[in-house]
Amino acid sequence: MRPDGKPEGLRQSMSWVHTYTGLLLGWLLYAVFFTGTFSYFRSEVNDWMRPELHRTVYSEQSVERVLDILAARAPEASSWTLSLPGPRRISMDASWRGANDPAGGRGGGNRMTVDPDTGEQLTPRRTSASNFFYRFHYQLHWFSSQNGRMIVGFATMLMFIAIISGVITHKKIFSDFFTFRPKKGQRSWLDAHNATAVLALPFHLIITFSGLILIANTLTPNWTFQGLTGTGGGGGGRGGAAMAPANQGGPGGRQVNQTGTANQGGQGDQGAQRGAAPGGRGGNQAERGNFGGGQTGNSAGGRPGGAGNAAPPATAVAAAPLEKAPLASVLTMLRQANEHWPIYGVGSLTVNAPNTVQATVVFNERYSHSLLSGGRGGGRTMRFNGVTGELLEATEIQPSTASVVRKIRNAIVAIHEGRFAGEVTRWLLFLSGILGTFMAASGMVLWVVKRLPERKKLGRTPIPHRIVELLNVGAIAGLSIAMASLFWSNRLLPADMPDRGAWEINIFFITWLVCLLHPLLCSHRTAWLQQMVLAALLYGLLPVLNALTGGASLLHTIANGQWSVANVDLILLSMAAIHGSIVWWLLKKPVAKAVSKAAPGATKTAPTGAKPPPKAAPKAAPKAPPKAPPKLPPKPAPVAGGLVPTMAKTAAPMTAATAASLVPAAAMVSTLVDAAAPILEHTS
Amino acid sequence: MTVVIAMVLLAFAAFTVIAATMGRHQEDLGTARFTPRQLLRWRLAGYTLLALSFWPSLSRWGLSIAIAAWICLIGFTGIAFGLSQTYFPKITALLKQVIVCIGTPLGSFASAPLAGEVDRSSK
Repeated sequence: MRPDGKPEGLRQSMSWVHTYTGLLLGWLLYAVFFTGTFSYFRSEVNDWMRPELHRTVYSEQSVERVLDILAARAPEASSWTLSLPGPRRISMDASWRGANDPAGGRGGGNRMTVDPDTGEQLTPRRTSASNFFYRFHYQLHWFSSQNGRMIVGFATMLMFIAIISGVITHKKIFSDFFTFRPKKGQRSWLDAHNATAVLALPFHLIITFSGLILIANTLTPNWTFQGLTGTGGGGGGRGGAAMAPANQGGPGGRQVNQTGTANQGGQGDQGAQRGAAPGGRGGNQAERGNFGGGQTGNSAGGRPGGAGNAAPPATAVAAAPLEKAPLASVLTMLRQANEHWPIYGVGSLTVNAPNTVQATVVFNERYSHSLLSGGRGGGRTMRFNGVTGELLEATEIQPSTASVVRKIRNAIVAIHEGRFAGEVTRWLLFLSGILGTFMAASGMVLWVVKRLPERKKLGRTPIPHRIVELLNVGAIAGLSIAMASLFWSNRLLPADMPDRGAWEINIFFITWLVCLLHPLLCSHRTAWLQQMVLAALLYGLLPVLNALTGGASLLHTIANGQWSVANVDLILLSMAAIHGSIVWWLLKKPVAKAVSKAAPGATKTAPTGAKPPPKAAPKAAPKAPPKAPPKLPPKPAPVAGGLVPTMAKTAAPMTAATAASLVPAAAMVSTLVDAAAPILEHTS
Repeated sequence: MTVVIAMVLLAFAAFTVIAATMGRHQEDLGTARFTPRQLLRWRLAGYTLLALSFWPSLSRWGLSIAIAAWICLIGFTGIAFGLSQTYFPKITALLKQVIVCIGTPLGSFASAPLAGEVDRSSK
């Protein structure tokens, strides 16, 4: 109901819905958006956080070198698998399946990371930080995964509501399409919020909707729809390779076993589906893709030793040992495969029955070409005779066997997860995520800015407004610092420290907590400024720290084409630039102007505090009230530069009557403020 | 990278034409007043150009990936256009014809060689 008693129109109602759905879990959504945006480079961050791998330089010749090492180390293995470095991974992983190893969904239990140049085994440090962002963005931390997903799912639903209600609320969505009016206070914030929301609206809608789809299993009862579960990912390509011997009458004993391996690797229902639809990897991993989120996935070169490619355990094959035969040049086959797939190249290769007459070499393309097959299936393969080097089969993309519903779901979800995205697309997705993050942040700041006239009327800062202000600084700027601290702790904690991974995450949360409390100790503007300066410094120095603590410098990584590490350094520098530009904007904005714009009444109530020089602003403003003229009202207005003294004074008369009207959380924060009042008065 | 450049050029030209048909932006760009018939034609031309900016993406990637890339890129180009109107209004107004006349063929030209690389199996 409007103040004049008339019923509210649709737009006003939607405005209310938009404001409070956004505000209620805005900080959480901001954190989810921010960490989720970083997750687009999860594999790269994983590389960055293991500096022991940075000095490795890959060339095609490395493949034969590592295969020689495998031949010496596991001559009797039933298969060797190599995951090759690529744009999204720096390391070369080798794995092999022993003759007596049980069959499993993945390629063998023996695995090592090798230096492609020397073949030396590398032992990278243990780190939890690289996957932390990814996991945090959909299941938080300190919660059970189920509860975490429920919370994030609920927040995502509110986000979806906020996006739709925001579109309805936006009165001039078309006429103001490209409009941004700077230096106009609330109007500028609204324009920035609108521009980032409207121009990137398709991205926001898809990301939010796909997020809901991903988390739907958690939010809804365990309903089963045939369209969603009937057929797996439908990746045909790899399955084609696995089944190929059967079709071609290839190496005898393998055909049944290869199919068998795929089946044995299944998990529950998916196993049956994969058996029905060749290309088990596609089916299985399309399902896993929801949350399991394979670390490397196909986008990073595929997992070593997929079930479809790997040979079966020797126990399942003929009992008699196979006749020995030397392996043909894998390098020649690799070059042939790379020429065949000029865009993405080879991601991994598997040598089945190595050094025997039945040896085959299977190459997998690095990325798949379609989002419809569920993300990780359907890649192309080439199979060579391992003894003669002759090409036996080259599978092409096979139409996905998934249902239409599943295909649509796969396509939407794949965009959310950034599967298949090459360098350019990944950066586009990342930058769009930054836009979404900015949209959430600008909405939260706008909530405060929009209420400054109300504060002017009241002559004080209402407690809820102050809470939002405090949380804005701590949640927005604080999260940036906390994320930077995670990178720093990755490098500064001893590599052999017990519980190292857990401490990396602990440091993240401790830093974030400190950042949440810090705004209590200084003015609002000072808190923003200090935290943004710290964030800019932390991010800006990280590439230097990387080079100083064993990692490869940006110049080295660019020169050697190690883009996974270079990309992270570039991201960190761009984060430093973003935070630095906010600092520059805060410093450029004179406090006098900020006061008059933010709270026009403040110039009347605290004129002396309204005219400090710009650079002295953070400290000058809190000192202003004591110099106020005699006509100063008893309660100074909430100026942008001096909120804490105001708060300290206004919080004192907040008696039980006021506190009773507040939500418990607000009361708790006000108690904290009361407790901090002596400190605040001391510091101011 | 050629794909991105082609898409940006085409989308920027498209947004320039679309903005020229919108009341507020018409003033910013200093374009002449259109008759309703002209307005409709220019608006159609703008949206056609915007649709055309999808072509380089489609030439390079499969349909599904192309949509994702295009959605991201037109968002950025729109913001870039909005900011250029805010901070460099005179230059944008002066260059509007150049942007449209040069950007469109250049974008199309830049994306033309990519057509050979298209992977039809990805559709």
